[in-house]
Amino acid sequence: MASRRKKTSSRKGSASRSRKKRPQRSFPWFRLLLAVLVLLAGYGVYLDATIRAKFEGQRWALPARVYAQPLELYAGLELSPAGFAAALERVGYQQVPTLRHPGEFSRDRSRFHLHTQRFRFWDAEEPARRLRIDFDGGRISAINELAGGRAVPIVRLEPEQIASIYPTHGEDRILVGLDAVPEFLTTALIVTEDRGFHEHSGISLRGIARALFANIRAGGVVQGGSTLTQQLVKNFFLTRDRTLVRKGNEALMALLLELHYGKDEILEAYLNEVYLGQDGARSIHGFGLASRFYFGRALAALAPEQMALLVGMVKGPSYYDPRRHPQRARERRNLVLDLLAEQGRLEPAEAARLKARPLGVVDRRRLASNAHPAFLELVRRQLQRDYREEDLRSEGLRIFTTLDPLLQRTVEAQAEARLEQLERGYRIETGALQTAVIVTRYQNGEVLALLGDRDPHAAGFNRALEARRQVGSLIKPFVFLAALDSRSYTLASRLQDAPFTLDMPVGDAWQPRNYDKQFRGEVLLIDALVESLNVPTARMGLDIGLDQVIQTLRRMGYPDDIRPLPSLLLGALELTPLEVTQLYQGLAANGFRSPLQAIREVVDAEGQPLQRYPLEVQRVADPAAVSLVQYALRDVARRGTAKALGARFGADAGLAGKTGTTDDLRDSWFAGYDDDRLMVVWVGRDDNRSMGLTGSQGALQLWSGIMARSGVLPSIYTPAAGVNLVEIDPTSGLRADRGCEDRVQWPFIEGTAPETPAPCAQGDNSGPGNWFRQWFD
Amino acid sequence: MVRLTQILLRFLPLTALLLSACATTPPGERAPVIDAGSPAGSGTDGSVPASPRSAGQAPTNVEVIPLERAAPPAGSPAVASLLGQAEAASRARDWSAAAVSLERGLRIEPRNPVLWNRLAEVRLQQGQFRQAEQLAAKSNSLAGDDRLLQTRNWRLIARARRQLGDEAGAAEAERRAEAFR
Repeated sequence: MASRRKKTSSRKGSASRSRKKRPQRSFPWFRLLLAVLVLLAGYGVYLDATIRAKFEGQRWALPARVYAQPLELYAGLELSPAGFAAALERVGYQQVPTLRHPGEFSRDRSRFHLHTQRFRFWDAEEPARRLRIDFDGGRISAINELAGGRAVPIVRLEPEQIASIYPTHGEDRILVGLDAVPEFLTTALIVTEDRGFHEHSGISLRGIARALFANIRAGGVVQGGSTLTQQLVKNFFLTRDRTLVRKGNEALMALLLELHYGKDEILEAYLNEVYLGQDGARSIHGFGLASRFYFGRALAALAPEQMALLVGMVKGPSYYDPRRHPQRARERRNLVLDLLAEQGRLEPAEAARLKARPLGVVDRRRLASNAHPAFLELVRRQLQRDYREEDLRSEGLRIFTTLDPLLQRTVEAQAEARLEQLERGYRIETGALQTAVIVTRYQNGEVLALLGDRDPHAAGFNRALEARRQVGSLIKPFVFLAALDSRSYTLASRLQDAPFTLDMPVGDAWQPRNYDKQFRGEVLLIDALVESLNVPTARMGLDIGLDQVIQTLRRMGYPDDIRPLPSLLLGALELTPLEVTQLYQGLAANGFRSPLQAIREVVDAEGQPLQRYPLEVQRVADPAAVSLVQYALRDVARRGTAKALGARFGADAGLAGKTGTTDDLRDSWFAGYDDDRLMVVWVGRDDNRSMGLTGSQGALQLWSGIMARSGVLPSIYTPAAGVNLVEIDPTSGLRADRGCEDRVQWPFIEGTAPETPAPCAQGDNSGPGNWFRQWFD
Repeated sequence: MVRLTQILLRFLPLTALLLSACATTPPGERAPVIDAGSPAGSGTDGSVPASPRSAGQAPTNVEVIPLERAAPPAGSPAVASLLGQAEAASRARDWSAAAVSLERGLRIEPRNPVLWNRLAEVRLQQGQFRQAEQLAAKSNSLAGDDRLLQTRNWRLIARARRQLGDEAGAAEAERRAEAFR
């Protein structure tokens, strides 16, 4: 970090003071001279103020940096060696035969050697460490220190930078303090650019003479005799044209700068200011960022020949661009190494050895400021509550987000592939389907991945946050939650599935129908949810009262007031995918709501913590009632409208979820979770026309594709406290025993399980049909 | 059955030491504190249960799904190490550092009720009484039949409610804490 020492001494206009006491003479030329001197002195004061204002204030507008969540490595972590290598490369590690520097790794099949880079996290600094990491199949089996072999329980890898929020002029830099700059680099810089740096007072007469000689010989300007101080002044304060006036200004300001500030401060400013390349609209300034940009590693981790290359590039970053002109860059680098040898700063043999090395430049990673625009939009929304836009662009904030980059890429790739597949399979015009996907870790509400358009780079309409669509049957679990919470119903309650009409105060009478237009007479409550039947759901909802359902929805995080219309029971409500995710988060997390978060911490440019977004929970529903709904949602995935999941992942995966389909097949939804993640998927058309896909035909396909590629964490059903598992005959919903071959265990809140034996139960000596009467007695 | 959590909680001041000891345990060896909670022949590894009650369902069949993420072993050294860091930070009264370590642990083992309990304790110390109460309730919802942990959580809830001026609620929580003893 650049220091900002305050200087109190001032020598403003010292040049003019000594002359003031001289006796006045009446010669006009002397008055003229005096006037000129006063003007010059005034100008000097002005320049001096300019310099000091810039040097003592915040010197640079620094972009905010946005990071993904760091990869936490520990024995037992599910990660393939190939996935690990890829993750390392994304944060800029280079694979080498033997470790020499931080930022490198070597791999021998399932064993990695890794030299981590120092990284300052919000709470602590993760030190640079040399580690051995062993894999056993698809998981880490051990992490040990390379020296001594001590086991390391957990390592936080530096996070991948996913975006920057740039100052408007597009200058990007990573500030480095002089103490963090290898001496080899400063030596090489001084030898190459300004050999007299430590002796001169801002301008170098020898340098000017040498340049003048070269220019006269060439008959034009071919060489600038600029010192590092002059170059800094030029970049800091002046335009790029080469007029004489500017040259004069430059010299004057260089002298003033040297008057006020020490060599170290000037050198440090130079190292951070210098222009070293271009990346689209972003300009690369300073050695700190250049080191990352060209070599993918921290300045302190650079090899000598890499430093020599950067120093060589100062002369012309685009002319000597090592990616576009590797040969030129190599010659320039070797020239710098020769100069160092010539000046006795490098052994000739060592110089020869370094000159033979490759450039070592990494492929240009798309350090896109729009890599994941939909997720970033969510980050911005959260930031806007606490920060002004201009602070984000200039204060060098570091923003640690919850994004799981690997998962995000899986979501993006799957969305692209599955939507094309759906369009082909259902003969939908190409490009007509759109989608939104949100994945969260539901126990803490962290958003792991988010997609707002089938094109992951599209930065326009963000459907995940902005598309308000009818939710249809996605609402049903909350209707059932309200019913089960009231204790008037159990999973085995019998619901009527028969036509009915509700007269409405205004408009047409309400006549709900099932999707298949059939009526089953009577169904068990769990089956009504598992098969997503509208009529029994509506009857039950009206029985417990719309107010109960609305209260439940509001507590679970429904964002707006809800008009008490019966159609809400079947999901005639419009919500964004993000809002749906918040509702389901509490359901998946046993009735404990956590606000969805995209940011963990924000620190300032010095690494000091500014803001944390801590984990919060709030109990919003009775865990006992929630655990009954959870059981039913597992059955949805096992034998109901999402039974494709059971078939694909196995019933033991314990997946749970709910399909949603709206009128005329306009919206296709699936909200589901495994033991760790909740994912909500919407598929539909922007023009809200029918696309002909149900929830299970559309959204479920994408959901299942993403889950298959990112891995399912199987979950075992855990009833809440006060809930018992009771053997039930699934046909009658009555108490089963060994006599019932198809008996199942269903959860019941204590004291609510049916006592009446099912017809199949042994020891039941009542005649057939008797159970039915008993139930209704 | 004696659970690890009970042991952890009973010897709380010692836990950090023991946990940091297991942080340095060579691979393949289990730290002594983990073994201490494991009743012989119980068939469990004696570590903190991720899913306290298995509800008698068939064990998960890992063969079914080709690309499955298996849960990290519950009460893993990684989480033990983070718990140790949180204890150390708490002793230094650096509550926010303690919270960060516990939240890291919860990302690895979101169902570990001890982590939720410790986070509730940290919030209580920070004067965030409502969050303390909620986090303790969350811990309880995951505690299964770990009565000692539930007692601790109810006592914590009682303290939080008292701070919030809810005397009746505090008394009720204390009653429930006693009921678990």
